[in-house]
Amino acid sequence: MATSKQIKDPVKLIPTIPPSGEFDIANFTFERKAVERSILLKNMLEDLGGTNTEIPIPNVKGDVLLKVMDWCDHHMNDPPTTGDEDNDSRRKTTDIEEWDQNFLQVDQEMLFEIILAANYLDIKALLDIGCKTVANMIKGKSPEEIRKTFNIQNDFTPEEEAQIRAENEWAEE
Amino acid sequence: MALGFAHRRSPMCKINLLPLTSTPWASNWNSISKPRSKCDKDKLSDEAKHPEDMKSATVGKMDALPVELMFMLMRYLDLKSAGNFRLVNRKFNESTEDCHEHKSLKKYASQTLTVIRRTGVASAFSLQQLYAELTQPFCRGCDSFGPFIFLPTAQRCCDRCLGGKYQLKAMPVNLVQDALAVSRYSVEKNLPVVRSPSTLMWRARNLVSAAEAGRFAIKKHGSWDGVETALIQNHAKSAFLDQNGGRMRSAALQMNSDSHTGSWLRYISGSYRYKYSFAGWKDYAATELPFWIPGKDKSESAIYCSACHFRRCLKSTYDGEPLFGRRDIEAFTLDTIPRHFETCQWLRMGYTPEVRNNFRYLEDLGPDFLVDEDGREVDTSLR
Repeated sequence: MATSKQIKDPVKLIPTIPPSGEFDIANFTFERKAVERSILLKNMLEDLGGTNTEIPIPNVKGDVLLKVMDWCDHHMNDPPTTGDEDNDSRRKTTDIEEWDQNFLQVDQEMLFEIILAANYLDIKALLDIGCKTVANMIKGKSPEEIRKTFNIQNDFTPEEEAQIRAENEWAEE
Repeated sequence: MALGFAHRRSPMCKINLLPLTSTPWASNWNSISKPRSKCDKDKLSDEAKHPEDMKSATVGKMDALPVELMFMLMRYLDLKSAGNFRLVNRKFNESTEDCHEHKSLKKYASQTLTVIRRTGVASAFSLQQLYAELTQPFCRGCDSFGPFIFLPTAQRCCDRCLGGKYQLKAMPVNLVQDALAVSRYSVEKNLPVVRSPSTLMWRARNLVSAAEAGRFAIKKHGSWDGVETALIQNHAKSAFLDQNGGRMRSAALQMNSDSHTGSWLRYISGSYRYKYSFAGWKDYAATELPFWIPGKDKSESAIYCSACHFRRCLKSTYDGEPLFGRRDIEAFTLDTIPRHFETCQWLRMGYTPEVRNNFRYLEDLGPDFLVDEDGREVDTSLR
């Protein structure tokens, strides 16, 4: 956690939805470089100028924020993405770093919360690996297995389903 | 910029993987073994529980995801998973249908998708990857327009690079044991396998990318030297077991490892077999892929300069050079061909569509049409 380390350039993030259990604001002090992984917060910090280093974070739960900042802390020194869309898309879908894989071994609720938070805070790399993880959970599963995995109910009528099946097989023999 | 004559090719003279089944030269799709996937086989009875009174289905925890995030997620799915994803419920079906990548691929490259599904590589590539190839025009081996997609790696390519460039070569998966000392099973498990159907000339084959298979073998054995050592060991083992030819072969092996490395060693050590194991498979591992510029209402297929092609035909008639393949002429799009006309010496020497009539085997090509300076097809019937 960020608090155990010596923080050179601290930024305080104040979640408006506090985490469960005891709330200690010291836990929400992070390295500026880590916070700047989030484009939203980076822009905010720039707008606020150098002096103000307390940012309220609505929309993201305290627990989730801690988890997301954990990721940012680990990836603080990553080189910025090249923005080479073409190159990025050529990479295999399943390619997720080992640390990230372990990081995302959380329950589904947390996983989706992390994806939402990454979207809100504009952390593209985290959003990507989150989506990849969910995509990997879907891959190779039958519709019924997907429903079971994500606890989804089927609301198709048999006719509708048969129609989509037929459409799906427009190419398969 | 200049104007000149161009033609489209009817694909049969180029590539054997076509979705058609009605024509005699088309692939026999029934000859492929079906993909070994359990996804297709989930029985309808298992999921035939449709509570009629249920008004709104809950989308579990995925419910929390807004539509744009659903789209983002879908980009990482492959064709096959996207198909299964649709069947989950109404919301998923709608978001699949609205997903830009899925929609454009289906609209502008539906034939390509058909071949991708039938050859069994549908679960190997993400929608994002396929979409990227659809919307970029260049061959991955050179800088010219690539009208095809190399299925084992889903890379856009041109006919000249296909089978010529190392990364665009395919090899039958039953040769990997002999050529690379890795088991067929492990290769099939780790790399996308194109299930190529039988045609009039060929039996059905399973093909993999030669470069990827080579990389896989090197990863397994540590280095290329490791691969060759493993091959020699494999061979010595089989020579020992094989009573008849065995003594001779191991004697030759002995001799070669003692003195200099001769052609025999090279032969059994794989570099020879590896090199020749991907000679004739290119047409069975690629299919057409149209090019689409996002925003346009039509996708483009390749067009060729008729004057250049006519000259190739002459050369092929008198020098016996093959008409298609590595020495083929360059493919263009309507946008890029006027620039070629400007410098084409064969066009400058004079070309009229009538000269083609003297060459019977050019009938397979599409008719000539005029392309003006702005890359527009001039609507005149020239033949």
